[in-house]
Amino acid sequence: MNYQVELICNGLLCLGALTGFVYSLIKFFKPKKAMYKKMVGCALGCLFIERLYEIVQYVVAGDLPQLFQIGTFGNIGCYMFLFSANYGAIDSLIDDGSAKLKKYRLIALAAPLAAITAATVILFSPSDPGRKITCAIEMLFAGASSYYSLKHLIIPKKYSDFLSGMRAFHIISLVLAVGVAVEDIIWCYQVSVQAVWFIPYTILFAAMIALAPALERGTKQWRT
Amino acid sequence: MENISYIVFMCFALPFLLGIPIARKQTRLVLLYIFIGMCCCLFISEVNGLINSLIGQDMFYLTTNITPMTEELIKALPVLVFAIFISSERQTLLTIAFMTGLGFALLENGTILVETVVVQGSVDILWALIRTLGAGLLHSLCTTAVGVGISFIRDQKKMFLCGSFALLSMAIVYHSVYNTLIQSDYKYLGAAMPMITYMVVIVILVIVYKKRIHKKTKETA
Repeated sequence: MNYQVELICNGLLCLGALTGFVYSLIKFFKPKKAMYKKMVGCALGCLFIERLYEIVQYVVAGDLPQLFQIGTFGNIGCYMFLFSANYGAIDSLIDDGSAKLKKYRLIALAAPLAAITAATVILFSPSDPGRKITCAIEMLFAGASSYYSLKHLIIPKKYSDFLSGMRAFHIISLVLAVGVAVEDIIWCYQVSVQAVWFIPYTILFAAMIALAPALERGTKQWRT
Repeated sequence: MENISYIVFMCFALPFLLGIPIARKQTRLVLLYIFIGMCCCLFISEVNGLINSLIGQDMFYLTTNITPMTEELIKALPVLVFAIFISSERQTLLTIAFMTGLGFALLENGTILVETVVVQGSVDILWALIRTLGAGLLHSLCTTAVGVGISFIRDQKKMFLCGSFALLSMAIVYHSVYNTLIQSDYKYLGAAMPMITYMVVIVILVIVYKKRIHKKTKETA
């Protein structure tokens, strides 16, 4: 893709992530606020730093490194924060491991399966090995994080009343993972049609801006 | 100039080591972790040299994509050991994490100062300010961030592993952005990055402290 277009797109995403991060800094990083919210704020911080890294690389070096590029850790960090928040802070409150939720646990496996499929598609791309492997690893982390997002999205209200308000947040989390997957696939297959590039960037921009407000709206009734 | 980092280590770190038996408990811990930070810096210079010879990439690639990872990992280890074997009390852990980063930055700055003086002949105040407020703060802030995650080691084990890894990832990318900027024409922007982060942290701490004091005064009244 064109250098300038790439720079503008990453700039927009960086701005979107920064907006979400600043919003979460103001709203979530207060004393007595739930750890869950702070972790989502940190996830947005990771996304912001990842995009900042890409912009700085484009401006200073002219392109992203062909081999392994460290910016991937930004996305991985984001997924780990979301995973840690959903698994560490929420999941044990909803799922006691009993058989009644077995169905939802199984359905939620669709998310990591989709991530593994995306990783396989990436590994078969004509891109260089370093890029393919880092993107595929990124997808595995996305799968782990998305499992809990999907699980918490589909669990009915009767099992977890406090999760019902967070559906929009979990949908946006899933959209974020899908956006990054599409971006990686397009990147690894070196699609030259610029219009195609705008699809993941638009999705990601919208998701980054909407993630923190959706969480804030969904958790208004929470008390810590 | 082959052994310069060892010579700087002996000049800077050994006085700290000698001060450790004399100091009292809390000060001893601070001195010890500054010393450990310096040891990490010495160790990482060898590790980075080894990686450089193995990968064979140019210095820019190495400093922007490899060394942030190795440095943050090595700096996090003493903090992790402290949390596992000694104490996971958050305030102590954050202090020793900051001190590890500080010790690391101290030896790094010392080595780079000597090398720059030998190569360029002299350095100016601006150079010193950029090194101190840029790299000095960067190392301390990054290690403290990882220390926050590690402090959950006993209270919330589920969050500890993923949270620490996520914070480590964040610190690695942040470090890489700094290293990229500091080697470019935008080096002032790079130096400002840790300063701005530090200011934000200080402002948040002041707000929290003021709120706590206000609450205490209200309760007393």
